[in-house]
Amino acid sequence: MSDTAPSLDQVRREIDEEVRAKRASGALPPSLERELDLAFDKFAPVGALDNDFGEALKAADRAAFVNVAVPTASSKPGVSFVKRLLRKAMAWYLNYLAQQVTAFGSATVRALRALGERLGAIEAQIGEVRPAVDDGSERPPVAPDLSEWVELVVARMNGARGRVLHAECGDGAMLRALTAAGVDAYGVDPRGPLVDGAVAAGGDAWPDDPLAHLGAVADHGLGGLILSGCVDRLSLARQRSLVELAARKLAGGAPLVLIGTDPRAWERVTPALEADLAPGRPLHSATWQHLLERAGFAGVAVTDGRVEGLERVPDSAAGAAVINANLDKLGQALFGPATFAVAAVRST
Amino acid sequence: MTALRRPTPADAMVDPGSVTAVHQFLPALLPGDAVGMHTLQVQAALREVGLDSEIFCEAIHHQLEGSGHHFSEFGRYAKGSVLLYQFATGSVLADEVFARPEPLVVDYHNITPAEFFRRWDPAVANAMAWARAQLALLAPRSAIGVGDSSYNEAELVEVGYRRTGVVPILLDLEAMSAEVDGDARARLQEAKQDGGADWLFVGRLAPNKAQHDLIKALYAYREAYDPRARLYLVGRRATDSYYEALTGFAVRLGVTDAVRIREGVSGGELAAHYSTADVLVSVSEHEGFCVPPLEAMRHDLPVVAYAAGAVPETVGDAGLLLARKDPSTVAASVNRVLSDDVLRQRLIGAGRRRLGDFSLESSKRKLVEALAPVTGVSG
Repeated sequence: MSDTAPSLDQVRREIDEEVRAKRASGALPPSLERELDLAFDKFAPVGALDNDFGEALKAADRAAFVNVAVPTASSKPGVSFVKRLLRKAMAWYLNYLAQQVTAFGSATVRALRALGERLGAIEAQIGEVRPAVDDGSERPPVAPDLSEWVELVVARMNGARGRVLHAECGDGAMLRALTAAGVDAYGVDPRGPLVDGAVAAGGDAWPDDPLAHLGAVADHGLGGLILSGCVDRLSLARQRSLVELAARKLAGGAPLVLIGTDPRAWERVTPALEADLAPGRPLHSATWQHLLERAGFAGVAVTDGRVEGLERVPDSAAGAAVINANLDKLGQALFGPATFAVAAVRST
Repeated sequence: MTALRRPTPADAMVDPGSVTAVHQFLPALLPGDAVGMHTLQVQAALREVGLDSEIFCEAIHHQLEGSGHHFSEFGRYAKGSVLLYQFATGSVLADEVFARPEPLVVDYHNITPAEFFRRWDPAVANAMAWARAQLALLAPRSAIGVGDSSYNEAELVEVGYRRTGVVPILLDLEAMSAEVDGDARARLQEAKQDGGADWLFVGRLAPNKAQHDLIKALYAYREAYDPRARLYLVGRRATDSYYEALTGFAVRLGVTDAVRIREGVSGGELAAHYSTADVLVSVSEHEGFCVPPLEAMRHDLPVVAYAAGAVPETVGDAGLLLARKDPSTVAASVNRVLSDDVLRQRLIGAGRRRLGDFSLESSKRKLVEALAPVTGVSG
């Protein structure tokens, strides 16, 4: 072998570059992979997909019947005859057992069907209370502006050992900043058009749901994690799941930065439609801090974003001190920081 | 089934001075099955060091009649013996060996986690859960637990085995090249006449082996690099529902001519596949050892594999291991291996060297050493 042959690590890096180029050129668009996933899901067995409870019950119904007529064919001479003899001789015994097992199976399916109907009624009621859920995919693809946090995120992720994931990555602006700083970063976002834009701009991005993607990542497989966007609109249960997943998927000592919207500012900065249809509400920075510490993160620190206050009067103006103090209080109350970043490190 | 009883502490039963035999138990002795072939090689290794060794099973394939006994015959062979249980699936034999008074060694070949099958075939999933429960059941009863990889050994430790070791699966890879079926090879070569690379995967058609991800990768490869490429999936189906999903998926993607499933191939036909394919590709998500990459190396076939389970331990630097297995990455990796002659030759050369780590003689020595605490016999 030639001494000048590249190492396998180098080959893998070149393959990653090749994949990025193919995706950016449209030869292997990111959406193709999602289409392939969805295409295979259609062939997954009954019960494996959402919303097919009725089909699953039909399959259980079919399986509840126990057939005692065992096959008797055989390629060996005489064996088929012996099998038929045995089947005939044991029929009285097997029928007795099979009837009981079949009866049990049928009763179980009936119980499941009744349970399904009651569950359906509950789901219908919930649907009336909260008719729409925003999973991100139907939102207009407006890229979030995270420029305020680039410096902090890059500083935290610099030197990360292993791949850094940004969920949701939007148009990939943060990914580009990280890559420029030498961080091996990739992103996911459920909004296909944004992801295609991120890829076209040279980012390594994938169309995927952040929670589903995190769930599929190997435990302790991430060198760093940035969470933004999704953290503001998930239901409380999924927000907590997100923190638990982050703790499980990050390697020991790996950094995490969560960029959230302050609940007091949320309605001010979020389009009405998106705010109204969101399944959840943003959490206060103190709540994220609490959840992260409880999940095993260390060094949890909150940084508040910029405050866009009211314009102050010149100090030389009459009563400036009193007026400015009141303007500060008013600005804090009306225009407190819209966003915050919670940085932490996964305990080793 | 034998009633269970509280086991005698494992260490108290070991008296190496009185051991004259190591008898093996496994559920089924089948030709072409890695565990079955391993069992026969273990028997040879034990006999070579002067120990008696017989094989006891629930079922024996007719091609191997005379190679083993039904486990009910064990009683007259029991005196002075150690039991070596080949563990790869749930079986009533586990209860049988649990209840025996002789010292026990478990040789663990891994059990697929039930989660992989839960949505495809609950019955298979339950069988796997049962097997895992039996593995834990045997822990306090076992003097030694042997895994054929560090990955498997770690699972033994996790379920409570106190004394453990690693012995690679005993394979006679040298014998494979002599077995190539000429007719099968001619047919495969004829199929290559129209051009296009042949991808090969060998293993059960099972969700944990993720053949569906291979089909996705082949689709991407044909889109971006080689529209005539083919994928041979060689192996028996583990469950009908997954098999039907694979075939339906291939139809949906319009690649039925390119995805060729071969079930029930003979040893010679398998060797023919290895000798005519261009690359072995694996995106399996769970492997306790993974024999096919070694067989591929024996045939100078380059290996591209997703680094899951024990695959990195088996393949080492003799294959292109991937940290992720999205279709684009797998397609680009295969393209790189097939288009970069330097890389391909380097992998082939590394593969030949890698086989030395798993040579039959070396593995036999490791086995005898691993069993020495209970047999008193060292290599």
